[in-house]
Amino acid sequence: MRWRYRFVLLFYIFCFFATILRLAHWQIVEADTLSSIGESQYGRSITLSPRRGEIKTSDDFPVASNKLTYLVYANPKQINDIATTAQILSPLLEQDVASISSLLSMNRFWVAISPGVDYYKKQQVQRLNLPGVGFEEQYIRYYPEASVAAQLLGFVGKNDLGKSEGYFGLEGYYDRQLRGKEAKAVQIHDALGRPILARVQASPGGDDGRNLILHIDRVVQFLVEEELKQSIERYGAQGGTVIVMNPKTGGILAMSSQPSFDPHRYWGYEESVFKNPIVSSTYEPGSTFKPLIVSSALDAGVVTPLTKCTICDGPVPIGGYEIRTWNNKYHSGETVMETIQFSDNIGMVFVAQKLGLKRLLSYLEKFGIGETTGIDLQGETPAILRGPDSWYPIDLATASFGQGISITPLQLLSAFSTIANDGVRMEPHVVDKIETENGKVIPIPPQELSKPISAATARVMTEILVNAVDKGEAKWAKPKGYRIAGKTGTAQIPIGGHYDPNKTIASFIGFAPADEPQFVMLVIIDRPTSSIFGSETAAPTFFTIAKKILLHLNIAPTE
Amino acid sequence: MKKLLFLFTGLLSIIIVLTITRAVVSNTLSTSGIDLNRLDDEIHTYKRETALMEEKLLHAAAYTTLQEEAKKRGYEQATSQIILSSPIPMALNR
Repeated sequence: MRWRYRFVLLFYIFCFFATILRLAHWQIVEADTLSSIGESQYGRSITLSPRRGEIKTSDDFPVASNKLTYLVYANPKQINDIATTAQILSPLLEQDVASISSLLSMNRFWVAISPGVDYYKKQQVQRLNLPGVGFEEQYIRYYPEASVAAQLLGFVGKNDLGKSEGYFGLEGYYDRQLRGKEAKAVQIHDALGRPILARVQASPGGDDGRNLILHIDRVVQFLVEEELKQSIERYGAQGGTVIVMNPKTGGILAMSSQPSFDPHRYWGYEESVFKNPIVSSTYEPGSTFKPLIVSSALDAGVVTPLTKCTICDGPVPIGGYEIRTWNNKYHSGETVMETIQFSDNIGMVFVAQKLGLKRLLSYLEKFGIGETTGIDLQGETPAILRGPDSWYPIDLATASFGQGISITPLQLLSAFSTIANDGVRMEPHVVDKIETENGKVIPIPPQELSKPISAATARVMTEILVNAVDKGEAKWAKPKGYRIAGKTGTAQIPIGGHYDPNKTIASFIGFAPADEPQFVMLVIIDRPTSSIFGSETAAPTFFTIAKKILLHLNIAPTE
Repeated sequence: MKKLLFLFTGLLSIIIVLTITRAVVSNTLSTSGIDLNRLDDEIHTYKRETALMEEKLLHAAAYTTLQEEAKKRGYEQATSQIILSSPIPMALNR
């Protein structure tokens, strides 16, 4: 009898523990699976978009931020009187009654009526207590300074999947950093599968986007934009660009192009205006290219500032063409320094012939001509530098004064800035630091690209450029009290195999203060009509901006 | 026999105690959802108000806005600047 008793007891104990193990299996091991099955029965997984990172100027002001708006949606199954609801919503949401009616007539549980509705309008709709109408929070991109630096910033649009994506400029280049990671959430359904209009709870795993902190100085950017717009109007030009850069770090302090666009309404503009011409368009730089050639010749030791030009008596015939000066004035025996001062094309041909094609191409490569600068903006195009076999004597001559060679404005500025930085070329960069969601700051250190010329050559070239500003064609526009190094440019525009006789690209490139440069700047005025010359259009624009920048940086006059 | 009885009684007691404990804890937690919801609503409200105020602040602090306001109030761009240099030392100032 005793063994039967024990057998039954053991059997019950076994059943008891087996039940406990089975319960442990379902509640611990299979917990996640059962939870997911349950969620899928009463809820639907939806994706919550992370908050896009901000783009801030150096003073921590967000020039690209996010604005709270609402998506007004409806559950057509819960709306009894479609016509009345549509008529009430139409004036508030600024949509026609027919569009809203057609949406509310759809055989769906959820339809989007109107995105981007601001908070106050949403309150007005909410107070009406319309059945079946709900609101979903959305953040849309907001640019507090409107179209300032539009091509630099880019804009946020929708991709093929309907998701927000950055295009052009910084929004495009840093889209992955700015975008962040999506989070998943569960939308609750009732027993009949109808979604419940309620706020969803996000599960952990999402990350908001990172913030970008730029080198851009908001004051300099603003005054550059204003002055450029005024200059384009004043000189009757088709457009213009200005770039200001710190030569010691490569940090871009300001970048502006006109015509521009409003990033809030980008769909109303042609695609051509989104391209940033500073990095995406090439042009023949004209006389602003001369400092690079003279620097190369000085560094190679083939000329000195006082070397006299032996061919500057008059026009020079080369390969069936005749090279002339811009004003048909010739200075016999002028020095290399005076070649820059007079912007004499013949003098430049002399310098280039002394340098020779092989050395010229070698120096241009060191200056970065023919390759991208590596700037952190979407759409940079490299200018092509032809191989030595493609060059004829006339090409060497015209390249010496910046014609017959095409580069982007940024490439020119980057190369020229070596003169302001003891011969060292720095990588241009717009973003200074990246800030994570947790507040951690990741700096982007300045990067040295090359050293095309020696520090001694850079100092000599600086004095030549200061002399050009003090005694050249643009001396009348120079602000008093400051030593500024610079060069004017009046470049003809190639059209269909020849040059347009009436239209030019007027430009001025320079840096200040000459002895301890704080900024280097390039101003381009595209096809001015009041005067075609850089000395009368781009140079005054440059000097006006330079004076304001010097005051902003609290740099007192030294002369 | 006594040991087995003791074992049974012990197990049964544990089950009863755990059941009562679960009932008490569930009962206490059941109303915390209301508090959590309320806190969640408050956080959401503060976040919304912060976002709206931030937008107003950015608009007010933008240079484009300040320029428009300055024009309305009659401010003009300065055409001349006065620069004060530091005074020369007294020993030289004779």
